[in-house]
Amino acid sequence: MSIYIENLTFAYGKNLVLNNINLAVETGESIGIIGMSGSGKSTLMKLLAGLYSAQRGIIEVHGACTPKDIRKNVAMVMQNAMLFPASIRENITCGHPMSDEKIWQACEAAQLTGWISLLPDKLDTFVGERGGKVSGGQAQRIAIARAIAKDAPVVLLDEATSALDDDTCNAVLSALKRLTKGKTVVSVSHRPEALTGCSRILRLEGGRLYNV
Amino acid sequence: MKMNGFADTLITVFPVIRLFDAEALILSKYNTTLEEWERASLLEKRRRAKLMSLSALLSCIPLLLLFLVGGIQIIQDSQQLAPYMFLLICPGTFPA
Repeated sequence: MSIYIENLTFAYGKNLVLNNINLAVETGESIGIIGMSGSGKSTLMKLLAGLYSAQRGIIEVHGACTPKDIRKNVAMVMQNAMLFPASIRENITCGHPMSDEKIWQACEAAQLTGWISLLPDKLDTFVGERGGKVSGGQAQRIAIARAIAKDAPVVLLDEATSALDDDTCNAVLSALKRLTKGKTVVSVSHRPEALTGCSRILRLEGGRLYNV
Repeated sequence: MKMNGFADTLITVFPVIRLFDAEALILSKYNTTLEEWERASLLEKRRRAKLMSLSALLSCIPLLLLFLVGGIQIIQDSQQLAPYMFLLICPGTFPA
């Protein structure tokens, strides 16, 4: 079992967002979660990513139970690519030692090689404050390359293509396909068409998960 | 302004920092930005000090002219000392 959630409850103050959630995802399985804005999808993803601690219940991701250990097993791509004010290289490695070969492999899988090769400083190009010097699609693909380079067994996609136009979306989807190959994937979106390719789709409503 | 921007970025990318264990990278970027800000701040203060010195020098010109022109006029006896002294002592004549 790659992801196991039992009786998970989470609230922001008195506002109960997730109520007694139970979920089991097999290794290599790809599931989708749909729900309206504010239904708690992103909260569930943050719990699965180890960014929040469960207030009640159990979360186990690839055998890890504590948020710190969970974070080691998870790579996440969010709606708005959050880039560091650093170079493309540093955004992919996050400051960890990594060979150029591995970085270029991640770029290739994220379909960034062509664009980076044209840049005068190549991988050392500064992406600007909050990725201000690159386009939305390029920023998202850098975020995907970062997730590929982490090589975590579980991949979480939080509205990964929602903020992109159709052309950019196709390029990013193809990069995501390479990222998620052979991994356990949980995608969330408020658009069902963004979850094509998932073996199972669940609906999050009123703090509870339902099969679709 | 630059440091505020960096702090803002830090808050935005906080989940990614935790998820990808990028604390060391961000700390080094923060220190670099801080050093840049410090250098820029020192440079600005130095430039401001130079401009203030120049401003002080320029504000002395009317007084020097008063000394020069008034002095010559008094020596040539075309001006009386009393009104000249009044102009000289008048508070508005002196630079702030």
